Amino acid sequence: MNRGLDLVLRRTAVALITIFCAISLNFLLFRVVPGDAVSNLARVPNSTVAQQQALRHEFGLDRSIGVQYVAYLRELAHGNLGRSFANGQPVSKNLGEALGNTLPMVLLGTVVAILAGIATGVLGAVRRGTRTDRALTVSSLTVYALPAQWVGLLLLFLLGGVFPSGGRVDEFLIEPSPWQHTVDVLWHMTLPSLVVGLTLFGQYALLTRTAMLETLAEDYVLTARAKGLSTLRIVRHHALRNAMLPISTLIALSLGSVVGGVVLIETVFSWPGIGRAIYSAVTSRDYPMLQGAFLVLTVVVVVCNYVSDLIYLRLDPRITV
Amino acid sequence: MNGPVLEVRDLNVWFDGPGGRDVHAVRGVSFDVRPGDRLALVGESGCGKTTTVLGVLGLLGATASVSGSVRVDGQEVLTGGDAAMAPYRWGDLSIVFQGALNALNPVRTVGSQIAEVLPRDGRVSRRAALRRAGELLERVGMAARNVAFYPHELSGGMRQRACIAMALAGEPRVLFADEPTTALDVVVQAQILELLDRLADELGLAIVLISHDLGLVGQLCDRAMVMYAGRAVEEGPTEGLYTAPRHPYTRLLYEATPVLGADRPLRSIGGSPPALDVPLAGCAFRGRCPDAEDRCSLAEPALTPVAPAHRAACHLTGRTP
Repeated sequence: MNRGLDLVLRRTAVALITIFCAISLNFLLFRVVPGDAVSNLARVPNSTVAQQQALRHEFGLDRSIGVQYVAYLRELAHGNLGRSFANGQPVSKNLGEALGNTLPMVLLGTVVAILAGIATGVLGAVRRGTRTDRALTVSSLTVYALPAQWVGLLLLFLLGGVFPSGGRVDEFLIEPSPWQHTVDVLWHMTLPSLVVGLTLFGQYALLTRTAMLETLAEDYVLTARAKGLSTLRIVRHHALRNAMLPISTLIALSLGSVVGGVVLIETVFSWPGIGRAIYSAVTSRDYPMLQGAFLVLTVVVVVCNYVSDLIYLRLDPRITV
Repeated sequence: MNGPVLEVRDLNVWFDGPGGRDVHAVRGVSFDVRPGDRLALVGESGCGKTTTVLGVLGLLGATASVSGSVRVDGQEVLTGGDAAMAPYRWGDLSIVFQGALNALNPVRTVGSQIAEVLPRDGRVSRRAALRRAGELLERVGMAARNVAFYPHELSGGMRQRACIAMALAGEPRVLFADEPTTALDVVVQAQILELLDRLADELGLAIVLISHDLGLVGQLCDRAMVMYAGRAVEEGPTEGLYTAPRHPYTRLLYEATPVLGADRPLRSIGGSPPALDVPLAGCAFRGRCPDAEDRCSLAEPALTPVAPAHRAACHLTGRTP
């Protein structure tokens, strides 16, 4: 317990430091790109130099970078990410909404991919070398190799008539009950979640199979067989638990990158999530939104890594540092 | 004396070799184990000792094919596959593997690994099972609180003791010990041997020891079977094998064993065992045998009685003292 607490504290410290570094880099990144916010403001065409200077002063862009940095950190600590150029709303509100739309969709797909991927991988490993194994491996590899947006378009083409082809809710549903609303959202979520799930499924299945083959060849699995334990018990209690070490890492890491990588999927399905927010922020040069979105993505990745560390700690009693 | 617990007749093991050339790893091995027996399988690495035992226990993988007959209490278990062997695993035949580190699952506590093979008559609570596991640990000279330890928290000798405790959990009648003292220092080796000796006496356990160390065999076993190239080349009482070896291999093996204070040079056996993926003509040992004659390349010698309860497979056996 003591060991665990010590480790959790260490990992937490590392995660916080990482986030701080990311915040600083994020700040610098937007200061080193050519042209500042004002010169890019196509919103004030034909502006005079004096007007631009006034704007710079208003936004505090004429102060030194150190002063700006401190101000940025101070505002960030108060949860203020600035206002979106595009719709004038606070960035934090926009992002919160987007993230709230993205997370359920991504999580649904991920959970399906985890369950199906692990089951497939375990089955392939236990039936190693059989026709079942080859069929599962080939299909996992195929799915793994397909680009997400292409799968998305294909699904739209094939199932577009069955499932809604875009958006998060049916705009014509007038005053739905909470139940109707949930069903509606889930219904819209099916296709994008399926694409997320399919793109993850392949790598989960392949890694599970490899990890399982490795642990099934371990001496303690031979011991377990000599003990007369059933195959199911050997797989669950002796092989899968050990194979879960690399699998849990991959899941946590991929979850982080998927949240950032949904730009294409959300664009294909017009899903109002963080991916589409980034896409529209880029096209409309909405710097505050973009900066905020980057920050959120970084935090998501760091948090996922942190959770993966904690899971690892729970799974493997040998970890000491 | 009752009938044998275990009867092995004409056991053959082939492995799928590369290029379709099967490796004939165990060739026609037969032996009996009666209650309280102390049998040793002796020979250098790669001569088929471990394969023989794994073949008997039905633990070889899918790449191996096994033929012959294995009977437990007169019941054939080899032909029925896993289902025929399952009821005898651990309850009647258990095994202690070499290299105790990997024989125990690193992510589960010692206690849980012992508890999972305890005979479950009726509902045994988890706590009762762990208490019983603790008693077994005390039986092998460990503290009962070690049930909560993970394998990596124990020393090599402790892990091997835990493996022995685990092997006792099913109250077996025959305990196979596959090089149980390899990778342990001499002092711990002696302790483990003493422990096995004591347990065999107390519990009326039959022990089948697999070893290349003749010194060890002499201390623990009263009967030994010397194996070479997958065959039994000599078997008899350990005393007889030491004082009057009838097969040149046994003699050379003995001369290659260091004995403290012995006034004789230590000799090694030149060459290495023959490849087993091509059919052998004549005696498998003739290439390394100092006494080989022409007739040794013509036919493989059969195991023939040379003294009471002592058999050897050598053409020259009449001549060797």
